[in-house]
Amino acid sequence: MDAQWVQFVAGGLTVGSIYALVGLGFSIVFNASRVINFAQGEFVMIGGMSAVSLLIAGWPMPLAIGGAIVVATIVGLLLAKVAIERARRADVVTLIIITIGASILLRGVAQLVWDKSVHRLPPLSGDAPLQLFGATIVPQSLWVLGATVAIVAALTWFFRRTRLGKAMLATSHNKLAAELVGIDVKRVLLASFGLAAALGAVAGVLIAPIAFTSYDTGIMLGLKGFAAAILGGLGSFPGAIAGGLALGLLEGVGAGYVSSAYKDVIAFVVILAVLFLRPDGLFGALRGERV
Amino acid sequence: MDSSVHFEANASSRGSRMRGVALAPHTRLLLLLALVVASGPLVIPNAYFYDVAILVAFNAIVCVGLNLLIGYAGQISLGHAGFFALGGYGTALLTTRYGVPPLVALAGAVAAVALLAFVVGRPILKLKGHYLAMATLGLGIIVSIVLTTEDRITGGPDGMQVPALTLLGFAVQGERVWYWIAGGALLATVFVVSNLIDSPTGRALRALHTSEIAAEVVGIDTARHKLLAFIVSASLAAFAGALVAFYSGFVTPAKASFLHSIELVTMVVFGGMASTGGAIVGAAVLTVLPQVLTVFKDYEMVVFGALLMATMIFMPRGIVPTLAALVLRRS
Amino acid sequence: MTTGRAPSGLRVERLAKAFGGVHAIDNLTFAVQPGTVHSIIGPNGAGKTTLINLLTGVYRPTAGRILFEGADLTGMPPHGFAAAGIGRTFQNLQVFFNMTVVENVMTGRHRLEDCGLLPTLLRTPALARCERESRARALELLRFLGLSGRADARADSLPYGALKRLEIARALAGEPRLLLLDEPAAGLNPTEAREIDELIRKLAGTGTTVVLVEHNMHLVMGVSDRIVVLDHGRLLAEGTPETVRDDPRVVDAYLGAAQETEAAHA
Repeated sequence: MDAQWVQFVAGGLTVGSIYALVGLGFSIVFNASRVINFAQGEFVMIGGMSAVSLLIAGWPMPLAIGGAIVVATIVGLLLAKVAIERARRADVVTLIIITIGASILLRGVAQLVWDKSVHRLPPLSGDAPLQLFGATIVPQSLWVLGATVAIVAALTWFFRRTRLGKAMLATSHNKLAAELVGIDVKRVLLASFGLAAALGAVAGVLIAPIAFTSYDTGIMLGLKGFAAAILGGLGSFPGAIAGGLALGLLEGVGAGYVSSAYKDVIAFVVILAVLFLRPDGLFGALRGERV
Repeated sequence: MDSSVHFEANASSRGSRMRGVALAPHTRLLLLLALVVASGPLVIPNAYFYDVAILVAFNAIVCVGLNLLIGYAGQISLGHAGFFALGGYGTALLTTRYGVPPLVALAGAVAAVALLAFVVGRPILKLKGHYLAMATLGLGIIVSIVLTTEDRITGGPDGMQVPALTLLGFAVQGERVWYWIAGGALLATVFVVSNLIDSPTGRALRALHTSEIAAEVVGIDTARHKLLAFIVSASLAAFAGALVAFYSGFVTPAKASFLHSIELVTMVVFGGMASTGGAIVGAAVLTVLPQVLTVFKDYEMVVFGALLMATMIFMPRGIVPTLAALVLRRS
Repeated sequence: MTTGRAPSGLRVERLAKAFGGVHAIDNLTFAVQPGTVHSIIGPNGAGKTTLINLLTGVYRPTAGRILFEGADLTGMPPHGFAAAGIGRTFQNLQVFFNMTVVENVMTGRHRLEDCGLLPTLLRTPALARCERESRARALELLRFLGLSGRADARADSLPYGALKRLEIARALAGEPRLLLLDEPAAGLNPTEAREIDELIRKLAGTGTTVVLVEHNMHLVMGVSDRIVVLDHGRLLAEGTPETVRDDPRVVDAYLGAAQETEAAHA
């Protein structure tokens, strides 16, 4: 049974890394704007599908991936500029519905630009499975895990060492203070959406060889990425990562040992459990509301 | 109490002028709606349009209830399709598996959903804003997944058959009969919900939407009132779901989907928050629109998403209140 | 203040409220006799609004008790305090802007109305009568506060001074036996402040107990039967206006500064 356990863990960590990347996107946008961007999952879809298109058009793999990330980033910036910036002062319900509308719009456009069928990206280093600790692992899994680690490291450097990154961090702690110190909060908002979109696209490109991609893969991935973000504490970056990995593991182990049909339910039960029991998540980054 | 305390006599604004006709706005809506329903058969040309009208009425029932929760009480539910589907499935199960007479099954299904809303509502309504949205979303999806997976009970993705509705021994069939049933059900719904809004309870709901603290401080048990709005709206969704099940003859898990929940919220938000008439208009427009767009079936999602975004960015209060305000400003 | 009397009025015993390490209210004990006007004064940050929030159930105390008319209200939710006959206004207006003026006041009557769910859903004649009465009483209150000209206007169309009066009308609609006013004169010009003064006297005359948080010393000294002075969440002094005004500790901590502001206003 040991090998099987390693199998589930490996699979769980792989998909968990994807959830972590998507969850990071949620937390970054939430920190900059207090908005939960329901369209986050669509960036994942756009990343995967764009890469497929560019490959078919003859672009080499690295350029196709880069191009896909650029496309998604542009879409993210557009969303921020056209919709979110304008509705910044609206109430929560309004903002939620705007992002939901955006996600439906993006999916509709994707359906037109591409088609409804499922596509697959070729894996980055071939299909031949590896044997590790008695379990069979696809090389793409290692790419996913490795890329996630690299991205997390890059983000940490970005937020600590670059001006824009520090500005984003400051805005997430205290928007008013950041504004008073001269930080352009609008630019931070744009940058956050762009960054979240890029992260989503990377996730999409990484997972497309394993889990395929189509115009509607964004919904579930988005929701699960959100579950990851709130599990770790909405707004907390280490929380999103821990939450993503934890959720992936729970799903992998749950599907393997309990019931594979109910695999998707796990994420939503997690959402409910966190919201009811510990709304601040495992790493509790949220401040409560003032009376 | 005599007015021996003198305050500056401020000039009276137009606020206290008597309205022309002494009819409460909700009575006007009810009469207008009755007129529309009654004149339907005069203008509806064929069975297809009867079908559309019936579907509009059923969607409107859900939306009027959902508007009570979102527009008046200021809460949000992204999982209401779950209640709708459970109303249909409850009816299907009671009639096919337990041989319960159709009307009793309908009542039973609605009662069961009301009970579920009561059990689930208490903890869930302690959440606010985004968190409430996500929790209701999660619940809706869980319902949808369970309905799809438990195929021995629910028939899985293909759903279940529902026998015909019988009233006093006669099977209810034909679009004309269903038209009157749907219209009547909608009128009854609007009557009940309007009464609720125009009452101390309705004011309590509107109060807690603006300031929960001030509402509490005048003695309103906000938790209980939120729960009431939740239960009423869930029950109405189940009621509509059961009627749709009888009308179409089957239920599928797709009725509980996230997309269906979003469609319902869109109808309410587009038509007008805190406006019963708006909810009906929203339901009408957004039920008819996809039918009109079948020519452009592929563009349905794009139009839907764009409509949703545009409404919330430019007309956040919804069509009917925004238009009403424009008209008032002109006069 | 003897304890052997029949329980009545408001009693606060060793009340405390801490937010993390901050003791907003600490070991506070005082009593308010029914039908009197009691003012609570103190520098900013002394804990006055926290105290009002405690006395209306908006905050739960970390220690101590709150008794009103003999009943222990400690730990009840705000609507429980309201049910016991306590009403309040807010320093930062919490008017129901999505309703009309008269609807705001009718909502204030909530604790006195019990129309039942079924009559509500079916709009029975009993409910219709309930509503008519409610509206009539609300209009009376609006007349009393000089707002009857705008009864059917939306609340958000009123100027600031009128909104403050609207909140008072709403609080009075519940026929409270204890009324807590949180800075009712803040932001009002001297004429309006004088009107508030008259209103408070009239209310006290009808037997309503009034507890007032105010910075306007003129108003406070003129209208109060007793004054409680808070400083850093603790009771600094308590007594009649004359005693408090002459208390050197109070002058030191607060009134010196207040009198300067008074001079500036005059």
